[in-house]
Amino acid sequence: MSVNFFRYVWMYSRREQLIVLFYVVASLPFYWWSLDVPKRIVNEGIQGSVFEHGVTQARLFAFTVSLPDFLGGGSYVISDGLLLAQLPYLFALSLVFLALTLVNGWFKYVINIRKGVLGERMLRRLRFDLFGLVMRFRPEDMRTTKSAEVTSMIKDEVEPIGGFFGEAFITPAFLGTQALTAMAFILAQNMWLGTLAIGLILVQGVVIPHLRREQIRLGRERQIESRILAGRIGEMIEAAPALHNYGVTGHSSSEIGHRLGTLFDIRLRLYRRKFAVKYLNNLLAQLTPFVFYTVGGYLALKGQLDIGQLVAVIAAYRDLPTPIKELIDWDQQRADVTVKYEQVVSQFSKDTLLPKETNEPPPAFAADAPITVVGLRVINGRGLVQLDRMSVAIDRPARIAFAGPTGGGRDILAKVIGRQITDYQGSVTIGGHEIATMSDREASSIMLYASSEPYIMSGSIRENLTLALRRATPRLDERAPLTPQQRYWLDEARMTDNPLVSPDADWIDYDAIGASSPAEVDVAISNALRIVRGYDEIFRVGMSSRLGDNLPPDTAERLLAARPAMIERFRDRGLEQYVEAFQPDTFNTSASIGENLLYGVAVGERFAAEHMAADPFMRSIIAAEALTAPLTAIGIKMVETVADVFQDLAPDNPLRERYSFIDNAEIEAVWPEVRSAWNRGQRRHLSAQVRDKLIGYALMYVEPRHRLNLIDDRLVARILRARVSFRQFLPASEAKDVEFYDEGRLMPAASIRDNLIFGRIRYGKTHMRDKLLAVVGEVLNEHGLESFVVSKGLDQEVGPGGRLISIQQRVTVQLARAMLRRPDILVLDDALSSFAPSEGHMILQDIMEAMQGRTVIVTQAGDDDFSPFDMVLKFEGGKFTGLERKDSAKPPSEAPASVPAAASA
Amino acid sequence: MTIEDEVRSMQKFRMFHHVEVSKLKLLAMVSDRITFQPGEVIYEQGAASDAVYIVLEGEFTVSLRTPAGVINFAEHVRGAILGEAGVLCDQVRMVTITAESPVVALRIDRDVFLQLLKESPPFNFAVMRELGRQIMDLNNICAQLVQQLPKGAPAVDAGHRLGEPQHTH
Repeated sequence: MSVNFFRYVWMYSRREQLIVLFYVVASLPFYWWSLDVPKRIVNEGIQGSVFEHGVTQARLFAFTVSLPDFLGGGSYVISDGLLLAQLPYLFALSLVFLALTLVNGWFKYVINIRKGVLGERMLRRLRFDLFGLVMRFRPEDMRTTKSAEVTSMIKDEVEPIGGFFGEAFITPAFLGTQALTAMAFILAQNMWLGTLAIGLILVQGVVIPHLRREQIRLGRERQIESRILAGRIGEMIEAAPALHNYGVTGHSSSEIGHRLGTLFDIRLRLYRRKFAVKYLNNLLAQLTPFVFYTVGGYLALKGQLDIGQLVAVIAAYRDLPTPIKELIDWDQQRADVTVKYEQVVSQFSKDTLLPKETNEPPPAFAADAPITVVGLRVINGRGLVQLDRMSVAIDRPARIAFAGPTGGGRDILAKVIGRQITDYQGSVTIGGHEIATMSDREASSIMLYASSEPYIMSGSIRENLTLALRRATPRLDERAPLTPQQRYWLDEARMTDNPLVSPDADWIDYDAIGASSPAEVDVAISNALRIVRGYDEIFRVGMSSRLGDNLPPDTAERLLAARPAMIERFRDRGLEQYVEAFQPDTFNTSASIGENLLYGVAVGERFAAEHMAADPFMRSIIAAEALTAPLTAIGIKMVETVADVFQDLAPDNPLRERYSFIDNAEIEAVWPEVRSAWNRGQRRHLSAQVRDKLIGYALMYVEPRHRLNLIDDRLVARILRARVSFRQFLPASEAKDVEFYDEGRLMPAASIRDNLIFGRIRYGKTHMRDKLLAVVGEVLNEHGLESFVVSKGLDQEVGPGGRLISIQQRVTVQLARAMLRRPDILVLDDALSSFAPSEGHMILQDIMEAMQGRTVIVTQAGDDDFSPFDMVLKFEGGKFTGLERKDSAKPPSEAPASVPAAASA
Repeated sequence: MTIEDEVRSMQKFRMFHHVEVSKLKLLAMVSDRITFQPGEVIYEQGAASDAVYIVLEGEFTVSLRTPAGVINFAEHVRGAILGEAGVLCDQVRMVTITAESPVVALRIDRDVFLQLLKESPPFNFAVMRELGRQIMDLNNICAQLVQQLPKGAPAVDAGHRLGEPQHTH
């Protein structure tokens, strides 16, 4: 990327710039005429200089083209023009002036539009180039880069540069020629006035930029300071939990406060400077008319200048300061923007960048090409030796352990082979290719690296799993018919060297997993998940996800068929007592009071558990069945218990989970009022708001879960009555807000599990849950619904950075990604550390089995069991201390990678 | 039976003598009460340690499947905490526990149990004391067993497991 701003602009927007320049040049004659016509209006039209001496008619619009002598001379009359009396003459000239104004306006409009488009295109290109550069940073540089700073540079700091792209060449050309035209015009009218004007402009042009130099310096300081501020704020937000933990938020606030102070100071000085310069500028601009009025008026009185000329000169001059001022502005902007540009670009230029990505197919690596490490030595940024000089040849395929304590050489070597460290001495090659200089495409075609910190992006689990497969780079179909909209997108992308293929296109590399359709990808995902023992989890997630509206009809049918089959199966296995089915005339003790009242699933927000108590219709039913008082009492009892037991626990303590619907802040608001009302023995005096809250809590109460012994037969009878009247009196227009339980219908708003079990698992039998769910899974499988449930589970959102799923799930996703790809070399750098040792060991075993005939490199503690490995590299701190090879080093190669049997239930 | 009742029965147990009532209440509130019919398995050897049980009522048998057959080695009554070692050491269940009479127990999820240990020092202390007591009992049993051994019997080894080899599933 060019460090010189103007070179960058010229390189990528030459053609556009020239087109706009052409418009600028084309506009000049009209500009000249628009200056000339007023003069003629005053002199000829109003004062009547052409109508003197009794001439009543004058000729207008007569055009004669005279050829110069060397072309033979002579003149050709193009138009004889019109003979007009004084009044029509005046009107005609005025109309010409109007037309010229319109033409000038049109030129300005076209030029501005073209300039704007040009600027936006260049901005798009610049941002994309910068992003491309960041993507090519070496992993080491990436680690020292603050993402917030880079974001602020790409997003905000280049914005003003974008505005200037269009101005870079055009504005000086446009304004300069305009100013020159005006100057020439003034000079043509009167030498003296012209020279005076030039003198004043020169003063303006010299003094003001000089004054502005300080302004630019301050501007640069402001830019750097605010970038650091953005970086620090970003860092502190990320570190917020730690800051709270150490109780040091005060210090960090004070740091931000100080930085804001510095910024304020710079900005203040900048303002002072800016307005001082503005003041001076205005003064100089106003001074010139003063000179014109006095000197010009004097000359006119003396008869050396006619009035028309003076008016024209003043008119021309009125236009003159604007271009001049804008030129000065342009110059200042130029200085400002080039500094900014150079500043930003220098931040993005590193000594070494990763090679550019190409679309060429990667070279084929021989399946047994060894990993050859020769004289490898890794020194970190502070000169500390992290890995002492070592050489080793690692034969492939093999199962290799790097053994040693955490943080030592074993991690470093794994990171070098995994291309997380590219700044090393010596060489590490696979089949003659140096690892550090491979392009992503080459390297990723042969190996994958997995660490203990998986990268999860927001989106669904499926999107995260297929992330590793999005490398097919779909080809653009040149012949496909395009809509104008598509053509526009494509053309713009082409003009700014952005990628032409849309991210929504199908990027999945089907060949890599031997699939040909998205459905087969799901199968491959299921297999990969089974290997890393994440399948059951996804199945569970799928079971508890919403059934959703747009079901394929045959799936819906099968689901409905599975429901009675499920109950049948429960009965066969003697499990039916553990499930409490929904029955229209029975109170379901395993469901909340609210659920029992509704006897259905809320579709929208209206009857959702947290809003139900505030809904007027629900409240009228509650009041009609005399439930208000008992429910309030239940709410009070719950609040009392929570306030009593949880008082010492932090608001986000996981132990509060069971009562998580009672917010700690709400308790603090509600509790004093409840207590004082209680003390006075008058529960009626609760405010409506508090009562709403209490009833809301009561509706969430589940007797066997919360066990406060608050439900008796009378209450049950009333709730059942309320259930009936709720359904009976629910206005037809609101029927869409609830899906009542109905054995013969599916409930799109409920989870798949609820849809199948059509009831609740009894609370006293939580330990049977797994058994029950295993049966559910079995029945689903028999009805061919397993893939549907898994696919629902894969649709689950993971949240930004995977915050909605557990750490283990994140690692599982990362491992499953690797298993989807089945690379020739898989580097597991502490990747299993978030699992319990026994579980991690089992996962590793499964992975190794699936990677039969390929290479797996695993970092292991020094005292682990190395029996499954063909080769063990031992490390002691940063030193490579020894190599152990098993005799039967090579497992039978070319063994087909087998998929382990179906997941255990 | 309500939380209050559960707290009252727990208060009677030796291990909870020093735990304040509010913490016992918390313990009851974050757990599930589960009843097991006679013969029902509370947990199975080799299963994942997903929860800890506190037996409020009933009797149960502890048994160990070995390649040589099933050993029923202890019978216990209420007041015991079950499965805490497996949860603490992140190991699968070492033994199978079966209800002899109807058993009522509080089931505390693994994560909740660990959180509770962090949250309440008295509770933590109670669990430690219980573990300590078990070790002392075991030492006593060991000593008695060693006494019964014939001279020259092979040495025992903590790394040697009596249980069946685990099946991965």
